[in-house]
Amino acid sequence: MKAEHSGSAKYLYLSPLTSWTGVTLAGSFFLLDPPVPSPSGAQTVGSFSALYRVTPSD
Amino acid sequence: MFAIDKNLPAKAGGPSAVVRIAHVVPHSPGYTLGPVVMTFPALAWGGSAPTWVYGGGDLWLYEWDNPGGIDLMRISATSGAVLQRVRVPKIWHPILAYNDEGLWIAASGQTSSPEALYLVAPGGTHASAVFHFAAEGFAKWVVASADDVWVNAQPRQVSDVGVVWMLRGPEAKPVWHVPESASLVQVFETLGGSGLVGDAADGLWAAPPTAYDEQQVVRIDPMSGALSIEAA
Repeated sequence: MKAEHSGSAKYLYLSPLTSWTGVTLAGSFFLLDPPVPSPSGAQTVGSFSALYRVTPSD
Repeated sequence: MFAIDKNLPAKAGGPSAVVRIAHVVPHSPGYTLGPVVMTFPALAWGGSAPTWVYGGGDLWLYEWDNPGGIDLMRISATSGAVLQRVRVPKIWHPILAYNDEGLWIAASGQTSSPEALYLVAPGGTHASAVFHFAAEGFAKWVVASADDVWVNAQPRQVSDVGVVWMLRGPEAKPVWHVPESASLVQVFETLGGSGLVGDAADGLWAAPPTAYDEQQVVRIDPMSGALSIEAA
């Protein structure tokens, strides 16, 4: 999965994708990715960029 | 819910912070704050900040540098009442997890703390060391569910390869252990001690970034320790 912004890959801990939220249910992983940082600095609290459901491959 | 107030004068000088329990009320502003239940230094360099987890209907709150005594507090998640204070070993940057066996607590970094995983049984009055980390090690992450616990044990030398353990029951009997993979190292380095979620039924999952704007989803089989990359 790929977010809608780009930047340095050197310091991964600075990636906004470190602040995902996830839960498991009925064998699946539900992943809520954080909002994409806005260039204007607009408030993004409470929003998100994507919700994924991932099921095991086996 | 609880609130942490900052920038209050400390007895020994410097900023301090306090923890107060917030109670919901029908009138504005919608809550009231109870008495101070914990005080701790608010110096950023001290690495001091309460750690908490919900479990068994209660909030468990721990602060290692609490001037009033090193303690673990059990607070009712419904009434906000402080139900219990438990003295546990001084654990720097602890990880907390809860399951049917009780509260699990371990240090999460290189530290002078005792190198053990502790368990406080429900209703218990003390913490028992039930699993000892090899090579003066510490926990990278801990996940607990039902009567199982998964812990990524890291030797003090961070260049050494860590080991993922599945432990079971109140005595933390080992079920399996496997060397950690490079993907798991990535999980810890980017997400820290709270990077994995899951249980014995659904598996253990994480979504570490692999680039600034990319991430992968990894899963650990809870019964074997086998790691798979499920999405990228």
